[in-house]
Amino acid sequence: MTETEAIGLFKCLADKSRLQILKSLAVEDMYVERLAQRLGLTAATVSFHLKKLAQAGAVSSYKSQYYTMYALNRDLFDTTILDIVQEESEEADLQAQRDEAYRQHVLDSFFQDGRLKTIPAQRKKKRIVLQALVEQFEPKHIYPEPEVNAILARYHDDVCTLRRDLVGEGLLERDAQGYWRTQESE
Amino acid sequence: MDQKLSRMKEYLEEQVAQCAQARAQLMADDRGDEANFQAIQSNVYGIFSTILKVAVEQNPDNPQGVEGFFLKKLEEIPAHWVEAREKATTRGDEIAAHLERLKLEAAEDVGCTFRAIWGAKA
Repeated sequence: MTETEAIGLFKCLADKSRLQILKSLAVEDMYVERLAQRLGLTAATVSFHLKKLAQAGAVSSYKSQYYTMYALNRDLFDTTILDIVQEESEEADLQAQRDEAYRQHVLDSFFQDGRLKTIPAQRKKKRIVLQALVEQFEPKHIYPEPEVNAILARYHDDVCTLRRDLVGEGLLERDAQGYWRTQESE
Repeated sequence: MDQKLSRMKEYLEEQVAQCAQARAQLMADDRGDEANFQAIQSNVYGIFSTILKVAVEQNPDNPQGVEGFFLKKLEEIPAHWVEAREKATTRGDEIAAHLERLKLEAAEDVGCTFRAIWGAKA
């Protein structure tokens, strides 16, 4: 379901009469006059709502003898709200561009002449800075601690804090042999 | 003429007030589209209320003039809605067609009441 379709569906459902129609159709397929009588609405009003529901993909119709029957599109209602929320946004590219612009802004603010001016206090900014620092480490290569310190010292004097934060943020892992980049950071 | 005029005015004002009341109730009941139907019909009653006022201004002390003016507008104005409804039906836009039908229903109601009060022929 696209975002436009999801918005159309939610708008369509945000109406008590249409919700009552759907509840009736959840019980069984019905024709306009039956719905009108059951819900205390005019047939014209029910038709209007059914058109909107059909446009949103919530109901469909079929002919049965002399009647046009309306049925709930059960497939649509099997979709969870989480499924809809997890669909890739139509603005994904735009959001990625905005994220990249923000990342660059943070890096420009905290780095000067290739050196880190200060370690950011704010977690989100600190992570962006640490992600830039972890790029200085080759993937799948184990670095002894002095080598890690030497690399980090090119950027800031407080290598202990940086080293600890890189591990804390899950960008580097360590054991007795040394440090290496995590898969997350690659 | 004064009595007929005041009855017609009263009827149109009542219709506008009833629509407003129904609209408020429907809004409170989360039935937005049906509330909008009431607003559409209220507008129609409002239009004919204005037309009645103009008819009287243009035809002082002339009941037949008022009747002629009002009946002429009762034909002219809904004709546009009939056209819009037919166009909507042709392009398969039943939702737009329904909104035009609501205007026509209200205009029909105004016409019936006017003829009943004025004693005019259909």
